[in-house]
Amino acid sequence: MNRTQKEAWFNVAAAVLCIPIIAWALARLFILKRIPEGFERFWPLPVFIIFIVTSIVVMRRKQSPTEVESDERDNLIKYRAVVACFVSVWILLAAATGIPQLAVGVKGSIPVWLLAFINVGVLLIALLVYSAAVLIQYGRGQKGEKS
Amino acid sequence: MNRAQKMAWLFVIAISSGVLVSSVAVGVLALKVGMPKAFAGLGFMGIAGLGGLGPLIFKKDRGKVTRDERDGLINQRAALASFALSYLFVGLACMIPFSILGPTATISAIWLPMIFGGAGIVAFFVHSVAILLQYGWRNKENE
Repeated sequence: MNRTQKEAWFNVAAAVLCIPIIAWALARLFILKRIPEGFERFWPLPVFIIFIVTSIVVMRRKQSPTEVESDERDNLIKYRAVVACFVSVWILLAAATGIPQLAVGVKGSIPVWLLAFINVGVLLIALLVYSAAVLIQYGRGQKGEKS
Repeated sequence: MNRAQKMAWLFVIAISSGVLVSSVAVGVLALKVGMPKAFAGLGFMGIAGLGGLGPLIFKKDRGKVTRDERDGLINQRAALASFALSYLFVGLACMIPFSILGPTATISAIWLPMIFGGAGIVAFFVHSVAILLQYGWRNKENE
């Protein structure tokens, strides 16, 4: 498994771990009707920083000094995955901004937290699309990728 | 100046003009008729749409090779920059109201399409500026 695949698997794992956190936040807001206060409101930020730092430390480490950064095939795979990610972001963003407005009407109002969910949700799904596109192109779990 | 640069210049001029004219219009209307109605001035952002006429105005470059690997790389980098900055715009547009007003506040639904439209304009503008920066603003050797 090469570095690009490891990055993709890390992204998938991080995104999947985030889903229960978001589900918990939604349940808390709408079922329990409790607004997080104080540290509870800001704890996702240190978690996010831990994810970023871990990804930098783990992903940038080479298995051997001779391991190359990437070759032309890796770059082409990444490029195609980025294109898929771009397209999915614009479609998701159009849906996420258009559907609520259609639902409440032009003169309606939306809760501000919806904006935060749109931002994080679209980013998370885009990350998943990118990672899935990378893994699908390499062939999931193929052992021949040792560059 | 090659075709990509000409189209990029058209986008930069059209979007800048649209933003400038609509800002003035919103400002003037805000003083005259008040704030919700002043958003009608954003209609002038339609000027930015003229940038999309680039492929029709500028014909394909003459010669057998109209695009090489360098052009492709420049376009890729510009697309990446445009995506990064447009999503930064979306992030700020979503999180600033959340941070200032708090999670229990509500805002008008009209902001949602504005965020989407703003992100699109930022994407096209940054893409064009990135293309011009990489080729060099006035470089004549790219024809």
